[in-house]
Amino acid sequence: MRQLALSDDILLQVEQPARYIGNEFNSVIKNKEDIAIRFAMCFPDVYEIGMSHLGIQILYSLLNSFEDTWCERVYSPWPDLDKIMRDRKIPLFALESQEPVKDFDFLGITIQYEMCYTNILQILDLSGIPLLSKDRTKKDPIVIGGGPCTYNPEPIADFFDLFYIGEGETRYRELLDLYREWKNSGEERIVFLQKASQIPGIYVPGFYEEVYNEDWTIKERKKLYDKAPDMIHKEIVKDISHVHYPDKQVVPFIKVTQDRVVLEIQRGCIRGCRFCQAGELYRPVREKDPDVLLENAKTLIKNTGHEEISLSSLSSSDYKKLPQLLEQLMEFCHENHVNISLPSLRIDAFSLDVMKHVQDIKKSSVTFAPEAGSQRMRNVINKGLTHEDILNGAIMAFRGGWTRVKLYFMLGLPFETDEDIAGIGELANDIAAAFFDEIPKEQRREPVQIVASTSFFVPKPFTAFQWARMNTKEEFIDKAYKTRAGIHAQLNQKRIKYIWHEADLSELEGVLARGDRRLNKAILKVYESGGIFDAWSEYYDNERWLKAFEECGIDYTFYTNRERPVDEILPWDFLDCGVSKEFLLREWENARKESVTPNCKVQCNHCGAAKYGCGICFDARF
Amino acid sequence: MIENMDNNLQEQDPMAQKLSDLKEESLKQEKQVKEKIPVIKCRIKFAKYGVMKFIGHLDIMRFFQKVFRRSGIDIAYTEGFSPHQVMSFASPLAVGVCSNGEYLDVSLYSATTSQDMIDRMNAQSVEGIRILSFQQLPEKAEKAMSAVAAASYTVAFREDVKVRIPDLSKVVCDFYAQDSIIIEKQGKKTVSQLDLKEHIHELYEKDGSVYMLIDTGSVTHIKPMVIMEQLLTFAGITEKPEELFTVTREDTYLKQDDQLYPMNAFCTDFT
Repeated sequence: MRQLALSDDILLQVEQPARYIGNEFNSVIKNKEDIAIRFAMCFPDVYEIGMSHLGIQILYSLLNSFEDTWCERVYSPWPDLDKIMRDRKIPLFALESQEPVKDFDFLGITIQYEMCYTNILQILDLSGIPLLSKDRTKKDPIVIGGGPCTYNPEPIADFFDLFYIGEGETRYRELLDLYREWKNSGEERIVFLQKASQIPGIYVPGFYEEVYNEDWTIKERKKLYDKAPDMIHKEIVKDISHVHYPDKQVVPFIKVTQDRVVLEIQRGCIRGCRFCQAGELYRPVREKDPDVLLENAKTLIKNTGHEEISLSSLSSSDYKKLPQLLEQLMEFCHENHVNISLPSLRIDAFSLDVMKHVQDIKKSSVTFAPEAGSQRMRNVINKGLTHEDILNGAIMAFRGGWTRVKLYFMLGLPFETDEDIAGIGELANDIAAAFFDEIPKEQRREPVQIVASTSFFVPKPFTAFQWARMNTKEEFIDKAYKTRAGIHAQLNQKRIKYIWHEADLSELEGVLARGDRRLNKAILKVYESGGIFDAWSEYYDNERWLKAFEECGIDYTFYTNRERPVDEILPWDFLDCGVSKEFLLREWENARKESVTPNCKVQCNHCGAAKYGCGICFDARF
Repeated sequence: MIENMDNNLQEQDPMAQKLSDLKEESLKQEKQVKEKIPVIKCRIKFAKYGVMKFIGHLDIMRFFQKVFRRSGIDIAYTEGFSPHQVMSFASPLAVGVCSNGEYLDVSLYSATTSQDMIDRMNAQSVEGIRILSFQQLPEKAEKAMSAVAAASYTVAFREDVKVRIPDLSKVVCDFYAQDSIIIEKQGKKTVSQLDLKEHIHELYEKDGSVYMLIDTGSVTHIKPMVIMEQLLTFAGITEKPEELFTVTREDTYLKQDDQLYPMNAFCTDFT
């Protein structure tokens, strides 16, 4: 039997010991003697969050499909265990073997949101790996980062040896082969990094430096290794239907956030909403073959025993063969007592009918994401959802028996006016009024209930709004009050509930999202003064961040509260995510003009992603 | 945009019809199934050990639901909008405690042989949960949860602590030979007295550990550590029992005609 890294005493005093014992069904145990490469794959947040992430399941399965490689999982120890591990000097371990991460060949970290940056340092520190890449030796694992935040890796560049830019399925074998060759040679660590920098999609931050102007903007990027590429191009999977797919997803013992089979039906999104980073990063849209999906679904349900399957994509309604897929899937799931959950569906007759079959109307609600309150503002952000779409959808839902409607909005979008904010209350009111107009009294099961929630807009790299000025915390809070007042002024205000998110966290997310290398120091400082789990409001300490910025001589408002000139060098300009800067600029101008850009299905807008030679760019034309 | 959407709606209407038909058809089938096929009540005995002792009772239930699905055992589901498996555990086991005798009742639509179902479940289990028997329950048997009357435990000294009770066998014997073992129970408002002795069926030393058979379940639930606490006091040892011992549940018992029997005593194998 495996020896656990933690004693019974410790496991019995921490919350949820199941986070740390491994042993889950479908977790992979290999014989160490047969293995050349030990890979620790980390999601730097608590187990329940990390285990819910599909990307890790994909890479875990892919890497373990290699005979010479054993990939294990690592998550952030919750603060209760964190303290014990520090006090008793217990090194961080991987779940499968329970062996220290420090003895591994690779530590891969997926970086899904900015607020986990201090947790990356926690992982390195608890592992006993030097926090800065430059301090590591041949004995230390190669620390490689991936995921959406690597599209601006500069604020955390000092902590990583490598970044993998793009989809993980394509280049790992090459990287591992290179590593094996190097490991057996007597060569220095830097030789491996040099060779790795020649692999497409691999970015070695240590081979570059940023030079700054007096006004704090970037003057230029200097190369420190002449063979390092000037541009790093994103990697993508061209044939998404036949790429490696994890048919044995690890089944956790404890309830995790995503406690179900996750079936990815497509990558990318045709919509081109101007605030949305994922919509740009994962271009072009590639749909998976529905026959392959059905087979995947059956295998996954059989191999995991999960009682629910969820279709995953950025916008499921845009998947061409959704009716065919759902019809077959519903039949199979019904026979096998499996529920289907359908996130990100546009509300229309079809989706309502499907929902009626897969969920309990009395308990569920219909969700719209208008993102902005007025049509004008929705044109600015290119959200192709009209007032009529929303009202018609809501009326259909009311007639179908639903009484609960959720609405998602953003505050602080570029070019926003008070009228746009007032539009939020008006739209919510119109929906409530539609209920009373359309549904006769005797058919009202319960009164309509509308929940409008707003988040604060954070501009992200590689979007049309990457140049935009972000609102200050004060402006955000002011807008939230205006939204609330707007809702209270409505006739049906009693039927509308308003929820808004905290502004502190959004502001910091804004700093980190578009920051440069000078932020590394501040992040390190925050970590050293005790900051971890910043994504959790109970552990987030805004003062700690403000103090760190001050001590590092950083005016953080430089990164948030100014509109960037379009000719300014942006920290992520050396990355190519497929979408050209010209396209983003055009979209920035179109936003200013309130001009709508059609989606990829309607017409090609020459964003640049066609160069990959796959997906919708070619489906549509040939 | 709006035009587009209308087109979509028209295109999808036949599909919506199909889905409705499908649902109606399956509802019909479901009714038939429920009316015609009687269920077979079963009792499963399993062991829980190793790292699985850190998995709590509710998560063990969820684990079993998934084992049944993976192993393709023809388990019965409840009616209603979200059907779930019919499952009843004998007695929840505290986190940190291992067991060689846990019981769980399920209902099946159809069964194969006991050995086949045991093998299929073990193939879909993890290290630390092992199915020991899978048998048919007599038709009139009480559900596992309400049938539980007693449980036996082995309480062993932890390997990492030095404290031992000299002449353990005699101490246990003398302890149990007392006329009564009174403890005070703190209720919500009042303190009541309980004679532990009445609830101990067996208590003796075995291979350096303490073996006990005590009342458990819904009527009187005695925890082994409560007995150990009294035993330690009796032996003049001041440490808390949690710091000294590990507990293994050996078996769980039901009561019939005032006699205790293992929970699967009246079950029969599927052959």
